[in-house]
Amino acid sequence: MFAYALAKGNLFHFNIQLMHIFKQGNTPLFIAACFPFFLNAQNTGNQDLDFVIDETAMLRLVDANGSPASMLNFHLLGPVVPGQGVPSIQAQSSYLQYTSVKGASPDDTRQIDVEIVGGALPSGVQLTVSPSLNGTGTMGTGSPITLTSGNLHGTLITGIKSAYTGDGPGDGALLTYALNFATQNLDAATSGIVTLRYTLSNS
Amino acid sequence: MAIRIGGRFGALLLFAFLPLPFTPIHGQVSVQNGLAQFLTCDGPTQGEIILQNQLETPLTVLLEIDTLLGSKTLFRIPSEITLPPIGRISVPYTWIRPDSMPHGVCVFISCPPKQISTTAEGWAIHTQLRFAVKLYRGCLSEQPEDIIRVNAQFGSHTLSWQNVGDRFWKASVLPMAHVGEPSGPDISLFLVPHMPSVAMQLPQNTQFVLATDEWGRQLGFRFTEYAH
Repeated sequence: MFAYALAKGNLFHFNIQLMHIFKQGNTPLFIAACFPFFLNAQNTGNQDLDFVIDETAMLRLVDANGSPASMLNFHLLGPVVPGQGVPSIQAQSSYLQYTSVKGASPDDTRQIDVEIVGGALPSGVQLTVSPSLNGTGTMGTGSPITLTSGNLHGTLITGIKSAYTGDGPGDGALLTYALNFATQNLDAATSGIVTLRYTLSNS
Repeated sequence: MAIRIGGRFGALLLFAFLPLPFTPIHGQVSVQNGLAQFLTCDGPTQGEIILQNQLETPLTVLLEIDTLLGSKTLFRIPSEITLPPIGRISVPYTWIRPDSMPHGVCVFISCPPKQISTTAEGWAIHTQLRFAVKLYRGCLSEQPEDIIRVNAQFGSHTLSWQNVGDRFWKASVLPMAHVGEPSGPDISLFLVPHMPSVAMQLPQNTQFVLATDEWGRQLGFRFTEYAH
């Protein structure tokens, strides 16, 4: 009873119970019943438990082996037969790994945006980044973004709450990069580096 | 037989056994106390962003400010900071000369860009990562009915909220199938003045919505196909 009252933080309730027993004339019974509690009284106490949960936001980009990936190369080879167009090239991929622990509003939902911040895609060339989400928790919703010389940014993943992708090879949101072009729009002089930036923010 | 190692072979061998110079890996910094914070106008003027370095070496991090509301000259934060190995650090920020007007900045956190060499053939895609931490300071509205505009789209069960006043508004939104019968968990709502509307997806069977703010003031809506 004492332990229960102590655990409930309600010693007043315990005292009421004691008075009730005395009034009934059950003093020996009361002493016998409470003796073990008195013996242990000095070892009993309250302890506050303070939980602190980090409102975590973590993000990295890795390749299929789980190694950090910050560069993808697209080499457009000329056709093997005169008269043909430049053949299409295989899409490449990387994995966006993230851990998110949401908080209360204003940080209860997160998103990942992608934008071109360096270099330029030649006119007529499109780069489509398509996310395929894998992980545990509320990973969000992915939408493919097509980047062109006229469209430099877009929101790739929305509605991220508390979730994690895993950190091993093949874990994470699979990002497929597909380059679409027409031979007549190509200009070898425009070869170069295009810098994509991913931003994790709250929605 | 003596083996003589020198010249170019020796240099090559020496290079092979030397530890590779450390190359910063993008994405090894993280934010540990949220991507948005709000300080009320009658509260403290200082806050912190907690950053963590996952690397076993020090990491330099850049912090850039973009203005969301008001003037960024009223906000101060270090522009660059070095994180200790495998450690976290608190980056303090201050709202200077605070007033009752709404203020907001976005702090972009990133590692310095890597030096990259140009390619001669085709394209190369180089990637960078960054975090955006939104920081707000201002007064909360005690009269939501004067500053809140709500639009409902019945077909998609979407409720759009817009703050057309000069004060922030925080509330907890409870969707209900019937009066007193929740159709889903509470949804926290934070409306920034002068910002585009915020869309909230509701459970399909929602018929009523009850928003309760910090002072217990409530706004209720009936979710019908005529609601606007």
